[in-house]
Amino acid sequence: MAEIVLMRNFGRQDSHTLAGYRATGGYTAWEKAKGMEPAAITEEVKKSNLRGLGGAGFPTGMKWSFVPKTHTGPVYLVINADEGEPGTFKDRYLLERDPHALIEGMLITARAIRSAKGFVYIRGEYVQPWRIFSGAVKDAYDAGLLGNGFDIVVHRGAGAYICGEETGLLSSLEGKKGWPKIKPPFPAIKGAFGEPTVVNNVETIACVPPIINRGAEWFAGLGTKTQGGTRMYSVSGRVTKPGVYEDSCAVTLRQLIHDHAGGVSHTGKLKAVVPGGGSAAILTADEIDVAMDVDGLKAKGSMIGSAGVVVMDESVSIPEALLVLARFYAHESCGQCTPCRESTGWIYKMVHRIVDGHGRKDDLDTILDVAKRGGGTTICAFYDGAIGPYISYIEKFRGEFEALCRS
Amino acid sequence: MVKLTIDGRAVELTAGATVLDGVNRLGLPLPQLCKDPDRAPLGACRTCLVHVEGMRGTPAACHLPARDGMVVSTEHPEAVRVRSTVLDLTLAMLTPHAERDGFGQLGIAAARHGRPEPSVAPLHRFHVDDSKSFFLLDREACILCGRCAVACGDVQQIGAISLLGRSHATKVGVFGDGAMADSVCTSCGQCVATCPTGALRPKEPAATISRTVPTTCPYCGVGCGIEARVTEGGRLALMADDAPSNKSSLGMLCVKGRFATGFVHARDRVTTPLVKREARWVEVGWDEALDTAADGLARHRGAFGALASAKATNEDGYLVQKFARVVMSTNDIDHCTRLCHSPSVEAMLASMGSGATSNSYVDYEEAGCLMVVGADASSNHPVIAVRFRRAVSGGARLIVVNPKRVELCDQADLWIRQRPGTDVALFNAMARVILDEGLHDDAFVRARTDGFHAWRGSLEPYTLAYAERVTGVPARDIAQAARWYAQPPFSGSCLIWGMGVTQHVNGIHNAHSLLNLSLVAGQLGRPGSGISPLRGQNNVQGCGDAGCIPTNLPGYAHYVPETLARFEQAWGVRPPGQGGRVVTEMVEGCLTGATRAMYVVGENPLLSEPDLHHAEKAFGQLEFLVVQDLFLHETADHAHVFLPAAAFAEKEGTFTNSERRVQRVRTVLDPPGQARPDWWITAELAKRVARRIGLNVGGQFDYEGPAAIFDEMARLTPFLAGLSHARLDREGGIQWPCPTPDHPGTRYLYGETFPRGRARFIPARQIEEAAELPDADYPFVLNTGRLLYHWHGGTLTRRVQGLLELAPRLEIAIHPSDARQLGVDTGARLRVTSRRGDLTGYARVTEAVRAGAIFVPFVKLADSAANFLTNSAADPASKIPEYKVCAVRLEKLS
Repeated sequence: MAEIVLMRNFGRQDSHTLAGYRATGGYTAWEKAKGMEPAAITEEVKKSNLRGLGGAGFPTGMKWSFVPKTHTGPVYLVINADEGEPGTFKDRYLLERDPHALIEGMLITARAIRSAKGFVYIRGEYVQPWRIFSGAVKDAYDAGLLGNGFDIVVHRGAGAYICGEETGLLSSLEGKKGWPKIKPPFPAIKGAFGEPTVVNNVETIACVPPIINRGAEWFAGLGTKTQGGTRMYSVSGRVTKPGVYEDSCAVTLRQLIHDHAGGVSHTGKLKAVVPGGGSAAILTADEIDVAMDVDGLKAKGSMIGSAGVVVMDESVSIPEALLVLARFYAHESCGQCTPCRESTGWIYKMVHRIVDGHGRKDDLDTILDVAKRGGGTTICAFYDGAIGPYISYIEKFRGEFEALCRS
Repeated sequence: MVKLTIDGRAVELTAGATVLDGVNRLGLPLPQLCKDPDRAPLGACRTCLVHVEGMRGTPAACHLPARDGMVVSTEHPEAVRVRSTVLDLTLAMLTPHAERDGFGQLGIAAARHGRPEPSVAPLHRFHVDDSKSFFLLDREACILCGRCAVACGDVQQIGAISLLGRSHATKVGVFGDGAMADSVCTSCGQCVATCPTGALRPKEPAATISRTVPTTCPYCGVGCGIEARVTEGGRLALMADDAPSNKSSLGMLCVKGRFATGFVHARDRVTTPLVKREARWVEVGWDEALDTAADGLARHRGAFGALASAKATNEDGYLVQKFARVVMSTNDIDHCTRLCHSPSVEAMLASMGSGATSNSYVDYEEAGCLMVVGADASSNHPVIAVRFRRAVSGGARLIVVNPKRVELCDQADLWIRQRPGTDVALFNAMARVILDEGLHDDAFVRARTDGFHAWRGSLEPYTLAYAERVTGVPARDIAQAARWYAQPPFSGSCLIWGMGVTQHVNGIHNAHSLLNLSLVAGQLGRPGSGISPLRGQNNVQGCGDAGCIPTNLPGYAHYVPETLARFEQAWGVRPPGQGGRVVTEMVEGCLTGATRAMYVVGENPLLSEPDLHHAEKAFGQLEFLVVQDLFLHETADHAHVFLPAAAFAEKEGTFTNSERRVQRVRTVLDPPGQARPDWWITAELAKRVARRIGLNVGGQFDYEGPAAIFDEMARLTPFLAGLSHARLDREGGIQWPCPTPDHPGTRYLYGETFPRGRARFIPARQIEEAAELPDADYPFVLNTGRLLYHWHGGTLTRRVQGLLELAPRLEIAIHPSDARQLGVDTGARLRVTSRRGDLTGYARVTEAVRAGAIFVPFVKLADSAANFLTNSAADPASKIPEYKVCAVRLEKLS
């Protein structure tokens, strides 16, 4: 098992306090970063191979370097804490148990991108994380860590999954309906309030202080060739010990389920696993010897996404599981693009019909046809995300669906 | 430039263009339902999907930046396949219905993709919202493209409609999901014009449009471009289209421009010349009517006055004043400016040497601070109000100075609610703050102005404490307004004012106190700054430019020997060398015998003059009255001859708007019956009167048409010299001064110098608040003004059914505390009585008015009109009547 980096303080009772964070070396990275040139910080993060841990896996240092150097107006740092991907709850742990790691990471990041203002967009349902994080922000202001060239605004979402999409989040932050924006321009060029904006996930930024403190090489060495560091896996569903586990991205899905989460519960017999949040294609029981990194899961036709692992044992009905997801997508589609808005509505209706026992076998082909043709046609990746489950659940477990259909 | 290939054809585009721009350049039939040609892409409908070599998936052309060397295909099988799925899903949202007429652009696109019928049924059913008078919202024909929401929110900045809810349950609707009629919708129809499927459509049976003609709106002084649409039946369609290329309106219109041009088809339009015999109108031919008119006018030469029309064209107005000056040998020619902005014009002429708005509308959007004084732009200049709202969205400070809570107050950073009639104290105190705090533009004052020290001395009494006591405005608000105005957060400041400043006995003092403010702060003569008296009528600027004022010849030329000689050379007759009488004096002259005959063109003074009983008596004394108009209105009832004129849509010419932009008016329809263009009627009349008095006018009134009249006017008016109909047709509207044919026109005045050289500070004094103040018998103050849904006295808009539905009856705005005392609720019938007359209307209880004040629009609805009550007391300098203040009492009627 890899070294514990992100969850290093979770065992302390006072890990969420400034004193507790300082007692374990908190804010020393920020002290060090203050002596570094902004470009040097970005360079260090680039060398560390840190990649975005919110879902898309984009190289973090490279994202920072897209901010125009010649821009004279404000540059914003926005933290995406709208953790809404089904089966994902790692950011919640960070906000509750180590909020200062995020604040310190933001201070360093802001220095790298020359930002004087950061926003933390917290999922509306995350009341406790919001309270704890806001308390930490207040303490950081009182201690003079914030308010001296960098400010943090904590903003609460209002219950829309789409606001976790970075441009949907920015629209919402601007006070508009949380609709994703047309790209280009990308946020780094024209983001929040029309100014260059870096949007990063909570966990991603929490990695920054250790990188500065212990060096890019050390961090890169924790991971694989293409992705440095460790990451937090949310493991839920039919396992003996559901929870958040930190490990390298070289860990396999089997290790996560058996070594970390104590193995399959209920019938004890694995049926399927969702490896990377609701939008990742489902894997069957014999596909779990796979490394939990971008390439490994891509090879299996799925994705690491937000590293939310949902385990299903033999007693779980796959059509019912798809119904839950289809309802979710039909409800959460923002309604902006026709293919997504209409298809998610229609597919939910059809899956519902099948689960209710009124479906026909050719409904399955209709769903597959609609799903496949709508891919790549929309403003954001929401619908592409929905397609993964629609197709994989039906193709891999077609028999289960057909058994529910009228002949 | 970027070069790319689309469907095998090369196309070259400017940098920043999209692939869709290229597709449309080549005229390829790619569906693009959510793309308004004049707005940024929304990317919502996903029907313009294309295939691009080397790119994954099928990107939407509307927001795909065109890049060098791109190879695009609209016909690629994959793109067609995916697109037809999207069209199928889109069609599946709709419920076919006979009135829905094939779903517009969607129907065409679907048919082309072999998708006449959707493969699934709609997920939702909706009721039609037909609560609005001019259009309906039929959600079963709606594809949720979002164009209407952009039109309402981003273009017009109203925000009445939006896409409610999310996912497949999204629908177009208003706040609280109620009826559109109960929302803040202003019926501007921007949403209807952009709707691609007819979900928002005018309430009239679908008709084929045989042609559209670009022209200029006939209502207010904003001067919006409209595209008049003519049906196969030869009538104007209910809805006119907007003109995105028009630089004054940028593709916006308000309810009147969009939906209220139908008055030209009113059933009571007079289409035959009329002569009154034995107190009855008799239909006659043109010869007889013109001869009768000429006989009467010739008889009273020497006791004659003419009223030109600010609703008619520049060419029409120019001929009316030429007739008065050349044939009738009088400068007694005026128009409605006397009743609206004469104090502004007189003050600006005295202080700067020109009476026009100095800036352009675009300056409102660029300004860092807007101070809007005594103007309800949202009602009276709706498209200018949009530009104010855009400025506010961009971070500009908005200061509203108004005793009444006008709609703009809702967007204002600061609302100054002064006591009526105390404006001078307010603005002088602001000037003192600017000077005391050193916020003035010292360099500007030194280099560009005269009279500074004497003026500064005159400010001595106007301390903040004094101003607070007199105006009732907290001192800190006055100081804040002064600071923002003098030093806005960015760019400059625009000062905008309306009738609330001018229609007072101290109108000219008010105007001077405003102008001084702009001078001391140096807020004019550069982008984002300026002074704007908002002009009420479509051509009030042009009517003055054309010389329809007693104080000046065309082009504001003075009665000095050199100019008189210049005009004599052009006209063959020397115009009289001294100023004439203004309209209020002409009307008074009817009672003394100084005025025996009048020629009234396109005006209805017996609805717009103050103290109408008195005015009616005066007009009754006239021995001969010729009225030239569209309808037999209140003034026409007293006429001896009625000459039926062509409406704006039935003639050629030009209007000049509030930003000095001269724009073309074009013949959309033939005049009905025997109605003729005003210029033709005036020219015929002039020739006949000349013959009767033995005056040889040669060919002075023989014109080939309005273009020739314009050319003559432009030759005599240096600031118009570079303009002609041909040039305006070629280039669109141009802002004067435009002295030469290669001059591009002028965005703002006073950049280098003032017409009088240096501008002059002219001290303004706070005098009595009003001529008639409330007392025990008449305890309320009556304030008058206009409504969004009616134009002026309503002569035109009362003939538009949809407007009558929106504002069917006269409402009397009354403060809740006064309503309580009177025991009335909204809807109760009230009688309002002044020393001069009375009216009845319906109470509307609102905090928009101050306690002790009521507001009644001066539109005439059901026989009641506010001007029976108003006071004819006038500002001594400009002669403007005090419409804004008179004392009245209120009674509750059962």
